[in-house]
Formats: sequence, C-alpha cells, structure tokens
Amino acid sequence: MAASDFGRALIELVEIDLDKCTNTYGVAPCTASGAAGSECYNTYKTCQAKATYVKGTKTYRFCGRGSPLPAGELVRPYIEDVSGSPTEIDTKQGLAKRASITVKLTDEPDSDVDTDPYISTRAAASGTFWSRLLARNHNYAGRFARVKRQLVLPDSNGRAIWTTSDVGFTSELYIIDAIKGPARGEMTITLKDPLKLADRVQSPFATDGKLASAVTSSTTTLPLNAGQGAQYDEYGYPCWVLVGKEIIKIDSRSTDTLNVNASGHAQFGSVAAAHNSGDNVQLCRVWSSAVFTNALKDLLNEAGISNSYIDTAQMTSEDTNWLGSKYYITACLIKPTDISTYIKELLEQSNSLLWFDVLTQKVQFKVNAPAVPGATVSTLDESANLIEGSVVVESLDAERLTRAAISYAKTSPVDNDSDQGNYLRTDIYVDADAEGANEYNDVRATLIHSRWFGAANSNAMKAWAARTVNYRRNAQKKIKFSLDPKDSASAGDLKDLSVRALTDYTGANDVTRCRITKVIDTGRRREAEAISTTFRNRYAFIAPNGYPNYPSATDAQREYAFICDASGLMSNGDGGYLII
Amino acid sequence: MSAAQPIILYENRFSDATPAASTTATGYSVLNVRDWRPYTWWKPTASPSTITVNCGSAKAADYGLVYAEAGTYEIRGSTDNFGASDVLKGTITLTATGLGLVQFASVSYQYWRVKSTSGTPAIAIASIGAALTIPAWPDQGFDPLGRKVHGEFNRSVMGNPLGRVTDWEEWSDELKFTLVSTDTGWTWARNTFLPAWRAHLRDKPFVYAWEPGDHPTELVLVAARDEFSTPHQSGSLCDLRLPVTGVIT
Repeated sequence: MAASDFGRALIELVEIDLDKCTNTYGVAPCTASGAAGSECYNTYKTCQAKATYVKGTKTYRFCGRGSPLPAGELVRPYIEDVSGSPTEIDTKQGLAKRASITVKLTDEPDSDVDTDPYISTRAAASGTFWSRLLARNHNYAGRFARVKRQLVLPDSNGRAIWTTSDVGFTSELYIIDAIKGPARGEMTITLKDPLKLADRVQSPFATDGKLASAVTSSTTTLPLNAGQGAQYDEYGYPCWVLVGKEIIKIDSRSTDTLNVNASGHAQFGSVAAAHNSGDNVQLCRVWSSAVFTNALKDLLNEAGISNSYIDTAQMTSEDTNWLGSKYYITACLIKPTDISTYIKELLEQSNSLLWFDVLTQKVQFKVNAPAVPGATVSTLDESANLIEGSVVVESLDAERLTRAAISYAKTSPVDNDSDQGNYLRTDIYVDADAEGANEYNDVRATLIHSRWFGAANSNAMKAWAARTVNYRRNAQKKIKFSLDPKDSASAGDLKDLSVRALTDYTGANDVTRCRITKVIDTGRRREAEAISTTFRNRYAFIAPNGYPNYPSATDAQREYAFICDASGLMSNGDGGYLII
Repeated sequence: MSAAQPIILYENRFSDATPAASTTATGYSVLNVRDWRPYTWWKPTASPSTITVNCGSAKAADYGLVYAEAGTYEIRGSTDNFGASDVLKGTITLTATGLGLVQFASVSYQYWRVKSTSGTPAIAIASIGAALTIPAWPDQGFDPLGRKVHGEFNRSVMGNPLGRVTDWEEWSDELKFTLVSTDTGWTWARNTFLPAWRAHLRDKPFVYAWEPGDHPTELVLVAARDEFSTPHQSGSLCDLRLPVTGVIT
C-alpha cells in the first residue's frame, strides 16, 4: 500500500454522474427525426422525443491541474482546489453536521468531441466545456459525485502511473447540490453528503383529502372527495389519519372512502369528535412497539436513503448491545416536519450518534458508549503519528452538566410539544457531588421533552438522564491534530491519544481515549478533531463468570467491569466502575 | 547527432483537414489527437492502426511527434493516399507513455499518416508539420532539467519524518534568446514568431525542444504564460523572452 511508504504521489479524482439518454438519435426507440446537424445532445434538456427518452448515466472525470495523467483515459486536469467542511459528528445532539465539499475547476475551450455525440454533423461548437455542459444538463442536482484519492509510488523514472480502475482509490460519495459559474474561468461544484436529503424531505407527507360529507364521532367511514383516496396508501394499511384534533385508525381504502377500524376513533390520547364536510384529512406516521433502529431506518428510507446506503448490520449490533426492548417506540407523528428534526430527537434521546461515512458510503450509527471488550483501539503519539504544530487541546467547559431531566409520555400527539403539562412523566438525575462546594459549586441543568417515548420506556429514560450527566459532568476535551496519510483516521473511530498537553498528576502523558468527530482529508495530510470519551468513571459490560479477581486480571479482562469495595475503589487502589 | 538550435512544434497537418482513423474505440474519437491535450485520447481497436489526413494539396513537414502510450509509431507520407506511394519518413519508439519526436528533411505530401504496428496503443497528441526553429541558442542560465515539486513534507511533533506527498512536478522557465536572428534583425521576430504567436502559441499548448540534436528526448509540452517580449538591441536587432510552464510527465 503506497500510503504507508515515504515518498508518494497524490492522485485526486472527482467524478460526477450526469444523465445521458442511451438511445441513438433517430434510431428506434428514439422517434426524433431532425435533419443532420440538428440532433439532440443525448440529454433530457435537449431531447426532441421526450416520450422515448431512456435515462442512463455518463461519468465525467477530473484530476488536479498538474496531476500525472492516466494513459489512454479521458480525465480532464481541471481541479484547482477541493475544500470544505466534512461530516462532523455531534456528540451532544447526535445528528452529524452534513458534509459540504466545494470543488473548484477550471473552465476552458474544449473540442466537444466527448460531449457531443453527433459532432461530425455539426460545425465547430463555440463556448467552453462547462458552459455547454450546463446548457445541455440542467438537472444535475441530486446526482452522485465521488471524490477519489490514492497515493501511488513513482516508478524508477519518477512517473506516477495510474488508471481510474485502480483498486487503491478511496472513494467518498456525495450528491451534487449546486454547480455555479463559469466565473472568471472557474467553476464551483458544491457537494453534500446524502444525509442532506433528510433536511429536504418531510414526514408524514402533506395530504389534502377533504371530507365529502359531515361524519359523526362514531362514523365507520371517512368519505373523501373524488380522486383523493390514493394518497393515503403511502405507509400501507392500517394507517392513521388526523381529522380536526382526532386521530383515527384506518383499516383499508375503498376508492375514495377510508374504512375506519372497529375501535379506531380517539387514537393516541385524542378525543372522538364529529367532523364537518370539507375538513382536511392528514395522513399520520405511526410506529407501534417498533425496534428503535427500525424506526430510524424507516425515516432514512423515507428521506430517500435506501438500506444499501445504511450500515444496517452495525445498527442492529448497536441496538442489541446498548438499546434493546427498553427503547421500543410507539409514537404518532401528525405534522409534516423535516425528517432530520425527527432523527435528531431520536439520537439525542438515546445518547446515540449518526453520520454519513463518505468512505464506506453508508450511514453509520453508534451509541455513545465505550468500545465493546476486545475491540482494537490504536494509539497515536507525538513521535510517530502527530504532525508538528498540529496538536491543539481545548476544554469544553461550557458543555458541562450537573443535572439532566427528560419529560416523556406525552398526553397526545395533538397537544402542544412545548407545554410541560402535556407530559405525564419526568425523570431526572442529579450529581450532587459535582454541584457541591468542593467541586464545581454550580448547577448546570438541561431538560428535554420526548414525543417518542412513553411510560413503558421509563427505564430507558432514567438511563438517559444518568448517562447524560455522567458523560458531561466533567468538561470533555476537544483535540485537534493532523496525521500523515500513512495513519488512518475516519469520523467515528476511537483512538487513544498520547500528547504532552494531556497529562496526569505526575506530568506523564495521560493516554486519552477519544472519538474522532471530523476528518479533513487533503490527500497530503488528515486534519482531525476528536472528543474525549471519558465518563465520570469507567463503565463496561459486567465481567463474565469465571474471571479472576481484579488485581489478577489482565488489561483485556479489565475491559469488563469488576465490583469495587465500599470506598468506590478497587482493592489495588484503581478507580471503580460505573453502573448506569 | 550534432547540436541543433531550439525548436517549437505546433504546426500540424492533422489540422488541415479532418483526420481518418483505421479503427476507433467507442468514446475515443480520432479528433482528440489534434487538440494538444494530453488527456483526450484516440484509441484503435485493431492493429496495425493508422491516422491519415488528406491535406487537399501537397503540404510540407519536417517532423513527426506523438504523445502516446508505449509503442512504435511510423511517420509516413503519400501522394496517392497510400496506394503505390507510401514513404516512411521516420520512426518514434516510446518505452513509456509520453512525448516522442522524429525530425527529417522537409518534404511535401498531400497525404500524411501516423501508423502503429505494435498492438493498439492510445494516442493523445499526433502532430506532423514544419518545426519553428529559433535562430539562436538559449541564453546562459537556461535550465532544462530543474523542476519544482508541488506537495507536502510531513514531520512529527518530535521531529521524525513521517512522509512526503507529491502532487506534481512543474518545469517552468523564461526562454531567453539574446540577439535572436542576428542575420535578419527584427525580421524573424516580426515575420515568423509573431504569426506563430497569433496562430497558436498565445492560447494553445506546444512542444519545446531545447536541443533536438543532442538531446532529442528532452521535450516538454508547455503553455506560454501571459506574455512574450522582444526587447530592442542596437543594430536593428532584438532579443526574445518567452515565459512558459509545463508539467513533468
């Protein structure tokens, strides 16, 4: 692997996928019949027979201005700069800041040979590469783009030999958000990670069916105006609808009539009522005793992120290890709202993290918890890994907490979210020691409301309050550092950092476990940010039967929790473990 | 070979008319060979492969040049579209992807051709034409081998070397020729160089060979920076200064 060698050449490649019709002009199934020289450009914008248009994909490739070029392949050396903000994991709110990458490219006159499939019938084209490409391709937004990098070893003549099919490329997946320019001979392409879709799509979908006639509070059908019934099939049946302030369960649909469940009135704490002709019928989004991560996947799917872009195995594993049945969800959403709002709430209320990993090209999900016993965590130090002048340590004092409360078991989805009186339960955890005069001597509190969890989730809510305070009672450390490409680092990774800025009482380096929250990969170095993951005490799975007593246990065995003595310490003086 | 004065290669018979290829792989149009871009390629599907141009009338050439994958490339001329007349003017052998040049005595043909008999290598640039010879030797200080590395060297906090990443290597220079064309004074600059600048050098890449006699492989595909100058020298003479930049491939 060239990345681990000393002298390497960087190959940076940007690929964008634009639509291209797979037909040939005037050849069946294409029904266009213009004269030679007036053909389309095999794009939808220029199509002269849109009914027979067949959408395919054409990939355009670009590399750095002075980059070594691959023999026999069309890769335009247009890239002037790739920069921007990568995915940034938010350990407090859970939903990562979506990546936004800016690619600056040169525009130049171009022969049009690659971009005009019928060039032989036309006079030489005027304009530049990008001005023509954009004029022919208006609908680029949402199409995929990839930023690829690899480090290659120059051959004996100092040449960096590569091809676009090299397996050594890392490939970051994005969607095209905007293409601007040309401006002063330069184009700017903005790329976002696919989680951005969750900011744009709402759930439930807004529906506009109107009651065709008045109904009583015990009606068995909801008659809709002609042609309005099909929109309620979105989530299958049974489904739930909101009419006025009543939530009603629907078993099936007969054309434009919704058939009410036998006990379908006054669902989710709402009140049965008569409704007038013309009242709107809004489709609701409902989960009943759903596995936490299944609800999360449903929301991602609804945003347009299919399971092939979700690390479903990891989600299931995290759910099994840390969440389970205590976090089963029964909830009803009545108002069309950005899906990212829901995801953020779910993550915050489960102490979880979610981000799109552009390298694995999947949504990743992690509960903010220690590595499971046996997991490998590598150490980065100032001798062999961290680049000079790059290490900065910051204490996140403003985010410290001494108490956390969560109100849940909402009376009904139709009641106001922000009214404390609409929640039937509250759990709170107070760290009295932290608030005491000998410690911080202050009160730092947070209160959140949950529309997702009910009385059946009370154990989970208690755990949420305790874990939140135990994680944030002492200020976490934010550490910025840079690595040579030989050292791997991705957002979400756990690393043990040994730096002079983090010492113990004796002044020796205090190796600190951190979760990497952000990595800017320039190809030449990896600029990373990490947050320490220390809780008030270490916590872990309870050690299995048959383990030795703590003083005799190996380091690997101590990744499990042992029982301490009454003083809170282990028999050799080490700090005890925490049960939360 | 004996020493030879610098040449600039830009004039191209393949721009006289539309070239025709023996075979063409999908997506690799033969028109790409005349755009002076080393990243747009023509690729044949069968060997031997040829690119032929009918200039319409006999046109002169004294060099053949390709930027191509490793292979052997013949430069050929013909008076009858390679019927009875098929004259080999020179051969270029490339052992790796890059530039190759062959020069020959000036001769005119209506049909010119690049032919490869070694597999189906791709060609990015093919040019057959008349070289622009600069009638002077490079000034003292010209550096044909120097280069600038664009990239980053990483060192650890404790000073240990971690690695170097090279983006690319640049060759750039200001081509300086003192008392260019001492025989003809300003005439060469006015009647030969200036038309070449207007026709091609101002806005398109070209190949510069600083000493094609003794160092025929030291070729660089360059582009002129934004200017050239011809400062006056006493005696109705002038210098030529032409800043250029290129990539070491």
